[in-house]
Amino acid sequence: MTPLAWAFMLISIGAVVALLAWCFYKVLTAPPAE
Amino acid sequence: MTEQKQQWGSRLGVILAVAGSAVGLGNFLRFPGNAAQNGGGAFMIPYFIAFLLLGIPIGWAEWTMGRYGGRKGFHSAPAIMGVWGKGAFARYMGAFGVLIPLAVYFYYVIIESWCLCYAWNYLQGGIGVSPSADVATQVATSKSFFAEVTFSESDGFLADGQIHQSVWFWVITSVINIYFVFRGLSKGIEKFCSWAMPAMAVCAVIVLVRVLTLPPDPTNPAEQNVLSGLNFMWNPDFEALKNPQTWLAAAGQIFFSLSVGFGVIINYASYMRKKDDVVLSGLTSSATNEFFEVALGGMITLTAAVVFLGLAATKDNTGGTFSTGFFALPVVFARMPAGNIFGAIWFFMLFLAAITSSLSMLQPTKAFVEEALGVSRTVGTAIVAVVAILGNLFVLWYSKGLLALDTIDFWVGNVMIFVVAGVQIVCFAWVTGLDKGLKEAHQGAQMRIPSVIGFTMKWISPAYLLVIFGLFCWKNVPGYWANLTWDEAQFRTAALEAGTEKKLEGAELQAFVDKDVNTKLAAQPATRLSWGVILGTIGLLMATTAVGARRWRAQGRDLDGLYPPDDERGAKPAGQGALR
Repeated sequence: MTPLAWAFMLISIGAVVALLAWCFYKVLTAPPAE
Repeated sequence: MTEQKQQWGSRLGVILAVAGSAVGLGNFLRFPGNAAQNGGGAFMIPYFIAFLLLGIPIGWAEWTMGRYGGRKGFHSAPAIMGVWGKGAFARYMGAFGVLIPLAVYFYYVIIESWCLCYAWNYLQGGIGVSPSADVATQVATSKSFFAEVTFSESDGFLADGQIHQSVWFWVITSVINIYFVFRGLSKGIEKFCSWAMPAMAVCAVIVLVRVLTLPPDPTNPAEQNVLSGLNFMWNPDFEALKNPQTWLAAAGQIFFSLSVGFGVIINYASYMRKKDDVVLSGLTSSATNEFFEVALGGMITLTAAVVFLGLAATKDNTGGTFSTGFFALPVVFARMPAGNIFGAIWFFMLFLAAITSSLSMLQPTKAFVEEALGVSRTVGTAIVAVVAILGNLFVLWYSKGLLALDTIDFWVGNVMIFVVAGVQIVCFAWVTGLDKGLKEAHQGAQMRIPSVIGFTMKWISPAYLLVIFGLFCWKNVPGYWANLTWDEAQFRTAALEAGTEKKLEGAELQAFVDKDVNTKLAAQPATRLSWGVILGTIGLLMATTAVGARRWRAQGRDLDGLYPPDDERGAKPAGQGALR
């Protein structure tokens, strides 16, 4: 596997995992709606 | 009507329901093939650009429009788009927001039943692909099983007098769908998605772990190993970025995967309360879809295919949704230790991915029928069930070459989604106005929509959409239009040109032309009837919209979006009367 393939794979998956984790953290820790 | 107003049970519930609607077969089967064929890792550049410029902005607009419509007591795309588009044109365009999920359901639930049928057969010992045969024989066997399950070799699924096992799976799948839609939002769809989504993730992770721990194939360990498979999917080819096809494929993948413009989000969001967050909920459901697509779909199918089939056979047998899922993967499972168990898990996961989507396809139509005709939930469900089953039977009957499925998928599941999404973003950012739209979106929001996304909603998303739609039509519509409208002489002329380009001559050229012309002429009745079904459904929905509009107007409801919702004016919610 080439270094560029590693880079694209890790950045792409890292980006979606980070976005998902941040979103769920915000959703689960948000106060309930009024 | 005294039925209780429907609402989502929890914030997580609506997120999982929308994510369930978005995560489908395309995440696991279409995405990896699309990426590998269009630049590998480099495909992710236009893919993420389209995510930011198309998927997220239009998605946020749709969530906001839906919740606002709900505040005015509307839950159907025609009524809500009429409010945002301030008049009859947008309202009738909104009818396409009901057509899309309904017509896509006509064939999607059948594909869903294939997945259940495959899972069942794997549990029973496999689909007959011999582990010791060569790849070509194995692919032929898996194609033969596919034809048997889908009736793709001939029309008339009951014509031979037998009820095949796949018909029973269609019955089971239909009953499950109709039952959960009848149960309603929080007791039906939300409850189902709240266990189906985690179950789908668990199944996908089990298969992913199995794939990533596969040993190299002893016959060709240098090529057929996990890293080689990942390299096939992710190694970037930057030259592909110069090809417009790559950008079209990436935008199309994002667009169809996120379910924007599909008519589902607008309906689901309409059951949210005024202070429920649409911005974070919209982003979270999109992020969930991306996780399934990139982190799971991008790692499993092609990697497994390369390990067991090698690079050449993987390139030959993957790319399309059906070829990857139903031709290549059964060969992989035949060669994998304990392949029947992993095959059952894999196809059950695809079934879950499909059913969380198909549930979302019936709900918008049900809401529309109830709202426009003023009928109860039971009657609304019954009407939708009858129409859906008739649509299913049509697709099942005209199964040869999957022509009915393909025709409805192209014209409704592709072309019309562009149109509805375009109308939605124009209604949001231009007709009602971006400032008002963003103000509405920020009601109860945990995060603000960045101003650059606001600019994108107004200028870049509509322009990007227009360019992509133009490219899509330019590339695809002429072929489909020709299949629909050409006569024998036109087919013959085109086939002659194609044969000459292939350097065929004499009897060989004549045989090629005859075969091509006969195939296309034989396909034309099913294609035309499919168009008849589409037009008939459009007519039905337009007439229902007209009936609904008259009814809403008689009730004094603000169907042209001229006044603020009742809950902003201190009156009781639901928008019943007293507005004029």
